Amino acid sequence: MLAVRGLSKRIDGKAVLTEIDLELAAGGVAGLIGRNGAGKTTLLRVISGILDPDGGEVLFEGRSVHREPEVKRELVFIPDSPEAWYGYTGWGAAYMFGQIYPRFDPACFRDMMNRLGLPLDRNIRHFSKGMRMMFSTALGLSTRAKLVLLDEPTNGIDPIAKKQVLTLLMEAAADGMSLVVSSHLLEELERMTDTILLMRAGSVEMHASQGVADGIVAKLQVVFGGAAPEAWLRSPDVRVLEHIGRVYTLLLNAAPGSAALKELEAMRPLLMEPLPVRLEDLYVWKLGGEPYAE
Amino acid sequence: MPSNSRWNGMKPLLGREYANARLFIFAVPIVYFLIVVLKRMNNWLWNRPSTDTLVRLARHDFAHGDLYRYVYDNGANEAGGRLWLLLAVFVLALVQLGVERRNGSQELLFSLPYSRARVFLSKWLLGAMMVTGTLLICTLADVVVMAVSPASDYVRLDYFAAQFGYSWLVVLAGYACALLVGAVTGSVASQTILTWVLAAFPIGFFLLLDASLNVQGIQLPRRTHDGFGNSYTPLLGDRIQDALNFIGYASLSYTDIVWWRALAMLVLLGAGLLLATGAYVRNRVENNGKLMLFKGGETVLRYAVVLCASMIAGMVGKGLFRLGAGEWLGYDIGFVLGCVLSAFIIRRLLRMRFKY
Repeated sequence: MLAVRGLSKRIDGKAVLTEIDLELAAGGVAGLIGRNGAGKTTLLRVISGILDPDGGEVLFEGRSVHREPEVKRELVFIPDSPEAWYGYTGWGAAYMFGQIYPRFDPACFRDMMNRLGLPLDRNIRHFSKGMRMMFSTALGLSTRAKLVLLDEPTNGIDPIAKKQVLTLLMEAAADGMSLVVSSHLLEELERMTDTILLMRAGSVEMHASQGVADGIVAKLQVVFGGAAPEAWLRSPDVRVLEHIGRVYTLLLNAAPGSAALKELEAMRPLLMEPLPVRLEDLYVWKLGGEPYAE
Repeated sequence: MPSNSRWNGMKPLLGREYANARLFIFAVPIVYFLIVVLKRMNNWLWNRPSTDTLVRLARHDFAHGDLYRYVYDNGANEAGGRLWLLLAVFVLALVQLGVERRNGSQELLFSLPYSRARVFLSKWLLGAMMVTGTLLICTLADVVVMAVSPASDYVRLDYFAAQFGYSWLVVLAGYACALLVGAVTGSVASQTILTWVLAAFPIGFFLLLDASLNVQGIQLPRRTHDGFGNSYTPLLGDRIQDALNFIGYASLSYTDIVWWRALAMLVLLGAGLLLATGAYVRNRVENNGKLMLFKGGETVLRYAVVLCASMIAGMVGKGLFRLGAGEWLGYDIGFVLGCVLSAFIIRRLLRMRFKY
């Protein structure tokens, strides 16, 4: 449904997106993760046509988003700050979206607003930050568009509201809506997505959420017999997540060709217990040593 | 939206533009009414004209030129109204383009399923409808006031039609230029400054160039007097100066409104609109906050600023350094200093991002 081919974007002379290729199937839910400044928002803004790419193209159902903007009737972008709706009430915004998006469902919008406890007749300007994000998410999901891009939808909202928003997203996904969610809530993303898009140095790596780190990284709890092998622990194939007393929690390079696991086995540690690898572990493994993008 | 008409496709965009500029839509006609129609009512309905004027009106002894001078005040009301409308469309362009860069509106509009050309067209249409509606309603009201006034025999529809048409062209040409500046600048501050600079640039640049050439001993032919000091023949320099003075176009008295001036405004309107649409379509959103959005615009601005600042510094140098070699040496010293300093400053400014 969404195909991104060779997408590049430079901002102030710096390459923010470099030759990005990705494809998303209809009905899929993708989580977009990466460090602050990695280019997540830029990627979403290019996909939604707000920014023009310097190279490459974004195709939605085979048609270019930038050359044929009318395809965006089925593609909605929800930014991380809905300032654009200041001056509108919930109903006012719904009226406008109802004129633009052919499948906009006002009843669904009203229900979502009620579930989130948001007044429909109050100016959005007077909402708190979290309320604005919830409103914005409800508005975007009510378009019933085929693909909704969400930039930090849980930004600034309290834990209870966060759960409500995530529930709305999961319901929308269950109804067949495709979602791309940029977020730092790795645990939630791991649960609700089927694809993880990991942004790193302007490029994107795609991983299936199920077994996200299979063949990439292994997580182990280890107790060494004697002194800990400091040199080995500092090697590029090993990352120490935690060290309490003699117990180490380690991430090891599990890619084909890496000898880290064999080297560890050869050391005959007292305890070597595999732990489940979470998305957060992959995130730390891939991005842990990287500085923030300037 | 294949099943709907193009108009239906414009409705939400126009609705949004209207919502953003609602106050304007009502305030502009009211103020224009006060400037043009209320003043006419004051002159002819509420203040009794002088006996001499009433006698002359009764005798129908106003010749063609006198008619517009005495009855229509040479179109001074309309000239004042035009200046107000120009100020109004300048602020409207600021709200529509400069402010939307900061408040997320541009992000929303560009993410909608509309081409940027259509988004821009909706902005221009709103402004054009506001100007047209204001002029139409107030001109009709003006006609009615004149028709019920003691000068009712002197209602001239050609006068009202010409004023309506000319005002429409001048204001929309100014609006197109204000939108063009808004489409190439990245912040409210730079849009504000550069709009006024653009309005004054042609005449200002010409005057600076003229003065600079004078210092170097090159003189453009200027107006000559007939020996009595009360008449002159405009020559090349004066003609260029008149042709480049945009405020002069706006404040023209009725008898000075001629076809070539209207045509010049029409060309400016067309060119401004075309360039503004092109710039808006190619908008570099990532450069929002900068002085200029486009590399090409940065280059033009850099050279224009350096050239003008150098000439101004040259004129200052001419006044400060009165050297034996002649005033050109002082000018040249000032010019070089101005060139270096302005090049440095504009380089720094072009790299900065402004919040507003």
